[in-house]
Amino acid sequence: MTDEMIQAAALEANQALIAQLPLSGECQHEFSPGFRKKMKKLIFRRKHPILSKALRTAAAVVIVFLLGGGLLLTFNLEVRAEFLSWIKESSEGLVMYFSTEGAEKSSGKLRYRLTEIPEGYEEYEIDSSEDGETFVYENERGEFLTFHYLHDSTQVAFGLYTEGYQCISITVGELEGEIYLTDNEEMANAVVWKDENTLFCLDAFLDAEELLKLAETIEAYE
Amino acid sequence: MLIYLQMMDTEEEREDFEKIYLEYRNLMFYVANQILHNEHDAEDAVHHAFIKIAENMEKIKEPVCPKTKSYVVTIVENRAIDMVRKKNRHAVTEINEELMGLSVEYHGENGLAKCILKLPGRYREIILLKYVHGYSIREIASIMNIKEANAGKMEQRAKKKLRQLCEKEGIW
Repeated sequence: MTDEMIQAAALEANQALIAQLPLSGECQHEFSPGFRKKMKKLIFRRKHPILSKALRTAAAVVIVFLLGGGLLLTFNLEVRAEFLSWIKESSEGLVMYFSTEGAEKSSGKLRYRLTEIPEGYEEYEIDSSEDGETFVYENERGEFLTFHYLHDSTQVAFGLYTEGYQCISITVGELEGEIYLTDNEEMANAVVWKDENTLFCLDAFLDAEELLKLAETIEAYE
Repeated sequence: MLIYLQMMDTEEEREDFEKIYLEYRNLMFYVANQILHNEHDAEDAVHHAFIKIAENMEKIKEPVCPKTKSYVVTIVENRAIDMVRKKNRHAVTEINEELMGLSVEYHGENGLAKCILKLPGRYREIILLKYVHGYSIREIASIMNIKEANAGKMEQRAKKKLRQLCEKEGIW
């Protein structure tokens, strides 16, 4: 019995299997809400691999997408609110911020950094692009602290997975923003705020007071 | 944690998974329910099958075609049989790999094909995944949630069982 013989027979067997299966329209089933919800999440994660990766890290709450052809069209928008020059949209436990303005402004090229890093955290990764930068720090418990900023750009959206989070309006200095807090110890809290041209996010295993205090240490350096 | 990366799939690739879901979810439920006889468990099997499908999309060239139909049925059948095995783990009668999957009638003349269709579900699945869908033993192990070494052994047992069936049918 050679592999070739098995392959030929397997193809024949497969044809028989397919022929015997009912057509999809012949076996309708009303799926439960629980199933539909799980599948909706799975489809979303498939469409947006970054979210899937983010969720696997457990601590992840914040995501940035480089928009590739109609990403936002996939959202069934429930809420739409102005957030200065950024638009905020919420749907299915995901909040997205995206800019309606281009990134050509020279002021949009300023660079920012944290001037204080909480004790015990060390630099883990820095990722820079024309649209902004990400600074990731890690402590000995494997908890991440991330500071991210994005310049106004129609090519970039900024997303937070907010299921289980409470959103509260805050100010960082004089700048308006929102803090996302959770009781889930495996998930980080996050604060998002905006100046004239840039969206900032700080995401860490810190409480609200510590997070806001740290947010105020951010300075432009170029 | 903040993550920053480019969308990896093309628009077309992103849509394929959803097309498969919309086209085959009812069929997959039907298959799972034929084995599990429990709607809740069958939905669970379908969900887990879609997780496996999502993880192994690279070999699906067309989302809606006979080959994909066979593939998704094979995956959900495997999951359903696995759930039956786990449920019966503490039963008096030891449930092993020889649980039968979907019953398929065959009226053709290829005796070996007839025997493949008579194989226990998991054995038939491993044969179809390897010889029809082109998956390696490593990939099959991932799809079946088993170790690669165990997938290799299962393939050997499947072929041994196939030989026995062929002998019984007088093919050899």
